[in-house]
Amino acid sequence: MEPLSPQMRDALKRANPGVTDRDIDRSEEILAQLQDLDPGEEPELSAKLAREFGRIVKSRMPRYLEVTQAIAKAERFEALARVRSVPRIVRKPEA
Amino acid sequence: MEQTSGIVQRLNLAANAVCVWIGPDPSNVEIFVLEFRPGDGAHALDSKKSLVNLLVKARGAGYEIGISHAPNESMINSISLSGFDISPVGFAIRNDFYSITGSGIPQDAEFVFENDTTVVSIAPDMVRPHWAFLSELPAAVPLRRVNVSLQGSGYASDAVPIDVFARPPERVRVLYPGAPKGDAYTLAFVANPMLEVEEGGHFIADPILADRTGFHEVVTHALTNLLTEAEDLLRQDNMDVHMRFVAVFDDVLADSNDSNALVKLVPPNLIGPRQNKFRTYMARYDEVADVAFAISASSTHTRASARNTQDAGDPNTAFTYDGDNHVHGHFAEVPGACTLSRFGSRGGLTPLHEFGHMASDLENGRVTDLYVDGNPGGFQVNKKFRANSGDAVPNNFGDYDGTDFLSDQNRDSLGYPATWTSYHAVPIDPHRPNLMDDYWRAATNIRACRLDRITYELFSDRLRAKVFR
Repeated sequence: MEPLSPQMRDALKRANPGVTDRDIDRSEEILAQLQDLDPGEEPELSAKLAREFGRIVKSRMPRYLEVTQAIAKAERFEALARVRSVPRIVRKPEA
Repeated sequence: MEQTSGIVQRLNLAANAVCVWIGPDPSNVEIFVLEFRPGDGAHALDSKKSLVNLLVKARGAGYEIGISHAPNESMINSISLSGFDISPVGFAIRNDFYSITGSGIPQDAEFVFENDTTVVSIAPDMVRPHWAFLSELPAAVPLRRVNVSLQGSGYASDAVPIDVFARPPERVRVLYPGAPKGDAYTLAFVANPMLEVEEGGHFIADPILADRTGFHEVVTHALTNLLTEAEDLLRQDNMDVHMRFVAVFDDVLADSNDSNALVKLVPPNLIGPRQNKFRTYMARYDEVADVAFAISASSTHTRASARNTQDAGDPNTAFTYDGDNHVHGHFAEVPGACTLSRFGSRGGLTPLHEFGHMASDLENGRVTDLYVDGNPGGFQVNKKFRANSGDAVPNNFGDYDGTDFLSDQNRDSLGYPATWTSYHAVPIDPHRPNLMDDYWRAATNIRACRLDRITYELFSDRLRAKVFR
């Protein structure tokens, strides 16, 4: 799993006053564990981890979803604005 | 015998003879003849048919040939094709990927497309000594016949005649052919057709299929990440010369939504690979990927993730880790799979980081995330655990194939949190976070982050076992 971007971490802190790096790190631990589970296997553990993630988000980062959407939107905007290199064109003089 | 060289300007096929006009232009030619005689035996007949075939192809492609003949005679004795020092890969189609292979290509080489009226030069989007790559062939390149070459400081390749087309890009595009064998180690980039929604069992179209340019941009970013950054895992000893790279973008959907969905949306914003769908999907295109990147343009879920390769047991190359016997499988039973977002940051190392996960084997040495303390279980190459967080980090991290590797006492530049029990191997670059750790926290030049030493050694051997299988 891609490490949490610094923009996302900062935005989570700004949008959820009081949230700490430790809260965010704990949520990351849970997400990483969820990612490591085989799909469909260990459904009880998966549900337990999902519940724990939900608990942290609800109590410490209630605007988590809003922040992820805003970051996604910003990333989308940035990606679409990228400039590509331009070819150099030389017309040959007529013989 | 004398040799006359030139372009095949005209070819005339008659009942018992072939006339060929050779020269630099249609007004400056010499005529040669290949005659089919009644007494020609089977061998002579086959040989002459091959020569005619070569003439037809050289005429179509605009390649220069050499004709061997007796002095002042026009009868053809033999024909040779001089060849070129570069090789264009696939058709030249405007707005499609375009690659040229060769050797000794300098970093400042440019693609140069030239016809009678125009010269179009463009810098490649990625250069390796054996490969110059364009994300999209510009619309400024003239259509129909042009000569393409690579030119840089102190370097000019041969000019190869090609035909440029304005037609829809290819569904399957070989970006670099790799070793000339049927089972070259293959990295695939796939535009994900469908997304499985968070609740599961329902599918929506992935917007990437309406964004071909976006797909090309992500592929280019991934190639640059994999092959040109400080971490040289894939390019060491020019190993990437033997690797095959292929891109699939198919907006004509066949089969079911379930089989077309290579990506699942996972709360809160992850794009997860549906790993067991990749092999069958790629088989539609007669492709067998060892590892595959599924590229998505979900507007809500953008965080990349990966699943390890599951190797077939045999054939394999044996190794030991901490004295235990393991194997590097030469082939994948289930290909390693990861996702990349069309909207992901281009400033980091996400494609290389996710390659680290997906190209490692689930059973014989997973390469795991180091920015979390958790233990995913199984054999992990790059992470170990102390009994208690207060225990000292052991001096030695592990033994790979009889060589000891040290632990990272300080977690490179980041430091271990006091509650962690996990610890890592000594990094190649002690001043930057490990590639598998939180590389975003590098004080300078994020993209210079590298692996740790034991993972690099094991992974290098693993790739060699696969690349030279």
